[in-house]
Amino acid sequence: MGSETYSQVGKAQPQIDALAKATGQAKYTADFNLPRMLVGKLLGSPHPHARVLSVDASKAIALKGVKAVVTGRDVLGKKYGMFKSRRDETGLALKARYVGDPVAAVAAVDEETALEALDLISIEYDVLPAVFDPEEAMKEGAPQLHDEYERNVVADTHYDFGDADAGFKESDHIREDHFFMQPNSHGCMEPRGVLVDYDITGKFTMWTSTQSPFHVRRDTSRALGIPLSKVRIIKPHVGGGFGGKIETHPMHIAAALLAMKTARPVQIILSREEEISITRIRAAMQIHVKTGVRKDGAIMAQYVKIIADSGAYSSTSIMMMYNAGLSCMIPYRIPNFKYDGYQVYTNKAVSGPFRGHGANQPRFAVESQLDMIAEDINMDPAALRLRNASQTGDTTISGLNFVSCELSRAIEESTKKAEWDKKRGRKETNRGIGMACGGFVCGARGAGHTASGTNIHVNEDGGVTVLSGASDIGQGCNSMMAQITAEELGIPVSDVTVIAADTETTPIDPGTFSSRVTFYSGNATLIAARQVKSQLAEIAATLMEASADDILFRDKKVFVKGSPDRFIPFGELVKRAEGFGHGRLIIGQGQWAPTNTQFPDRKTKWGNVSGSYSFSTQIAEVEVDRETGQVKVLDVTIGDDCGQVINPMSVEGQAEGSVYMGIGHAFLEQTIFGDNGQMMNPSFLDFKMATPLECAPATMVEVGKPDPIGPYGAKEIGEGLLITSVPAIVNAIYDAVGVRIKELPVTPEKILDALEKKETEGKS
Amino acid sequence: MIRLPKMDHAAPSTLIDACSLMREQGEKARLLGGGTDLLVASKLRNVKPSLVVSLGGIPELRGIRFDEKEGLRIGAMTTLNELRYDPNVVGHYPALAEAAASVGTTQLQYMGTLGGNLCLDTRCMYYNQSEPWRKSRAVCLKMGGDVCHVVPKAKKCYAVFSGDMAPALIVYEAQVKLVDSAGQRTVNLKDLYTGDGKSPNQIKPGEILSDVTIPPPVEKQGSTYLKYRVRGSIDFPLAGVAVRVTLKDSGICQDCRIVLNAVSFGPVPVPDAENVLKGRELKEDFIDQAAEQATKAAHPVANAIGATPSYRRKMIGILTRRALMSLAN
Repeated sequence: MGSETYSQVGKAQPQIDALAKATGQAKYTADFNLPRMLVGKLLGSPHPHARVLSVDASKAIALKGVKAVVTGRDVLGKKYGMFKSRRDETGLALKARYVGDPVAAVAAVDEETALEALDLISIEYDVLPAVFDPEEAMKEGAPQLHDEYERNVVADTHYDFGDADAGFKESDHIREDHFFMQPNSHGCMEPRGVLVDYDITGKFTMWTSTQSPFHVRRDTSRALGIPLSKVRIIKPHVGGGFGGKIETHPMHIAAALLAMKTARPVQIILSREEEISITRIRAAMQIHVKTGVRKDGAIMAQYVKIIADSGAYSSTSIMMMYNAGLSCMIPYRIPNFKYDGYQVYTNKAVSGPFRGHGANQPRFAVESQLDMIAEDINMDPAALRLRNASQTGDTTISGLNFVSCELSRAIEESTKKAEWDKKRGRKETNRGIGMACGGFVCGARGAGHTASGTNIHVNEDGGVTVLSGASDIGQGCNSMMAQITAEELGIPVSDVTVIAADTETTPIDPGTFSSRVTFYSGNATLIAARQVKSQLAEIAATLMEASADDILFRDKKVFVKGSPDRFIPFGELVKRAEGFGHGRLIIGQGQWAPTNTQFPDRKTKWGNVSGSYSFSTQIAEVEVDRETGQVKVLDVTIGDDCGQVINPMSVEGQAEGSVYMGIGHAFLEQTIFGDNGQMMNPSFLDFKMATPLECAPATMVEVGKPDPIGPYGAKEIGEGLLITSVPAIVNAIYDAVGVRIKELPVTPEKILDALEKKETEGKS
Repeated sequence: MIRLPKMDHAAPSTLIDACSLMREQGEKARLLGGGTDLLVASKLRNVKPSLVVSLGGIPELRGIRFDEKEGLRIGAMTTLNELRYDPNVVGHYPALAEAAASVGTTQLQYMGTLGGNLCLDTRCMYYNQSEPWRKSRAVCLKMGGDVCHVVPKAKKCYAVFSGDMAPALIVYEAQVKLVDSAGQRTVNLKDLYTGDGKSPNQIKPGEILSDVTIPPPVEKQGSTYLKYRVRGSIDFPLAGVAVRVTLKDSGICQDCRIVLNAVSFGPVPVPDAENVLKGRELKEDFIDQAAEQATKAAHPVANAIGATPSYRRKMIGILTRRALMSLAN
């Protein structure tokens, strides 16, 4: 992955904030304190569906130390949300739609007083009938959560590309199967929080744990009815997001209201229970898949139907249902594809974006079914995938265009490395091996503004400041931008300071989602750094009497090509540049969005949403205990076409994180709901994420080639790899003991039941 | 983060002082060992003590003493980590060391004490929740209400006992000493538990569990503790089995103790399983019969996240079998 032509790109290095984080110096939202700061707390509804009739906060207000109480009557009722057509949140609800839905908030001098005050707020509710199952919620006469959405269907997305019926007719073999993928929590280490300062000019400054400061700014301005420019959002260090922290949370609105009402700074930090149960979760999906293949394994047609559980609010429903269908067409050539996706409101915790954003669920279903088809037609599952794998230059039937695609190579190299042929089909050992493939966008084209921007300032000692609107939430984009800047200017990464993100000082940015950051902000940074470089190169050329084209930047020196002795130290060049000519500043400005995308047509849905696409193959090896049903993942092999790797250490981190999270999703993680729709396990004890003891070693094989669009040829790896983790494991379990688990999570009990059923069937 | 409610803290330096404090304060006071159970329950407002009496500063409650003739004496404030690595415990009473090593996580074993683990409160997924969470439901029996969310129409609380140390100690016929300001009494550990999830043990307010004693090890004795939990760390047990077997020179089972964990209000001794093995060779078919008896004795209810009652029951059989097979070998 390394390269002789690069000094930084392709070199493994720790993230630029690694030391600060390891030593505890990195500041997160909860670490900030302001003079006279109050502590805010949210009060959730105890009912799954209830109208707030009246609120009596007099006892709470009377408590010493309580400064303000706000309720749904204090917000304007202006709906906000990520997508204009699906705005359905107001901040504090007048009609609670799930247990925990915030209906009031209090600000007090300390946390104890705030908590005590919550107990003193008395709310009269009109309790309404509730519905918890999406299929029930779709029925005529079911309790309706939002007036605008009949039968609770908040998103319904349909594709009809090619002629699926004809494709099935041409198929030699057709399978229809039903799958279920469970809901779960992102499990961020840092529970989200916000600190709001409201000043005398009417301006709000908010420090908050977010993946998209500019989006929070938009929603806050809307919900409070104040100009956008009166809201400033600063993103400090963020302890994980995984999609959950893209959107605005009621705490943002409540804290802003409380700050306005008290004219004092207000901080709200969610408890772990709140973080798990009243933010976002991953949508549970019922997935029906019908696939037709020819004898040679060629996929002729596919039909996918999904019913997704939205929970109480829409969140990114239309994008998620769009992506769920779209992602089915990335890894394989599918000539005819039909899709019906429905997202349905229920009185439960809110589903939203989650690493993979709707692709994980159908990927699990389709990859499971492909293995079943391979068995049916007596074909090796790897060969079946190779037969259908997308290739560089392909345009899918929906218009997606793959400017680079090394999926075939990923399959070939990873099966070789994992000893696929040798290890498959050894049922007597209770060990099995399974694979799955996937593909993902590098930033989907949204309807609004898409570009990212980077400004670069060069300081007089040669230190460089990068200003970006991108949100580093732990994935390392600040380090990525520092590395690109350092590469271009021939300086060490340690000489680069990255400031990101602050809505007042950094360029506007959509946020960290859709695996877009390296692709977009990386390119924007590259443009800005090259501007700086060319400004400096011109001056260096004059000083050294050479052509600007012959000026090289490396090792903190600026050389004339071919004459290693002729150089100016980088810092000295900057200093001389400032006094040069008219004494101009050295500033680079870059903004970038791909030009090869096409926003999907409203009617036909035809279009190309991403500048490029990543592709991955993941192979898992497992061992099953037939007596207890317990499964151990022994080893994982990854072939990931993420293009040219910029930082191998970050890429390994994403790969290991995908394996770790995938093991959790396959076996352990699940948000469980009680008979009143209340989350039963809102803690890290009962919401069971994998520990190191459950993890497996992961090996990566090199398969990617530089992409023509990404910065230095880089593509995404953050989401596209996770979506293949679960199906690879589930397919490996089948190879080990011959049972197919179609409803996640895989539990020992499900395996025992399936083994028992298989034995009974075998006897009869 | 949930904070602890306001409470007073006392740290007596002798057992007598601790006893008199407990007598004065009555039920408002709670004993603090390692805090790994009590402080969590306090944060969740499951219990609301106005005073916690720390036993950490009382030297006589600490330490492990082994004598070949008298057996083992363990102070209640001995940490699980000390037990896990004590050479006499590891050498003579391996089930005890295995049980200690299986509690929670290493961090919890450094903090958690033997006394605390024996007095562990029973657990239920409707009970071990925060105060705001519990407001969505009627107050349950364990919290002083009159409904059970797990077993409808139940008259008593079905919260489950999940302390790993008790079953392992009971197979060694352990006794505990209970001290209060009026005197002391010694109770067989297996009789300590009441069979009611609401108040799982018979320790009276004011009494302090000070010591655990175990008879000396006998020849040709083997023991082990196996448990099932969802993850290899952190989680509470969903099923557990402690087994001790004494063999004659002929290889015939002379004596046997089998005690189940995490399937009832307290540890569950299974005499029916023991009787299958007594006087017989430890062979697979008898072991299977014993495991079947153990399964029959387990009656878990749907009160824990992570596994259904039927799977927990199944695991009792499997663990019993595996424990006995390992001792047979």
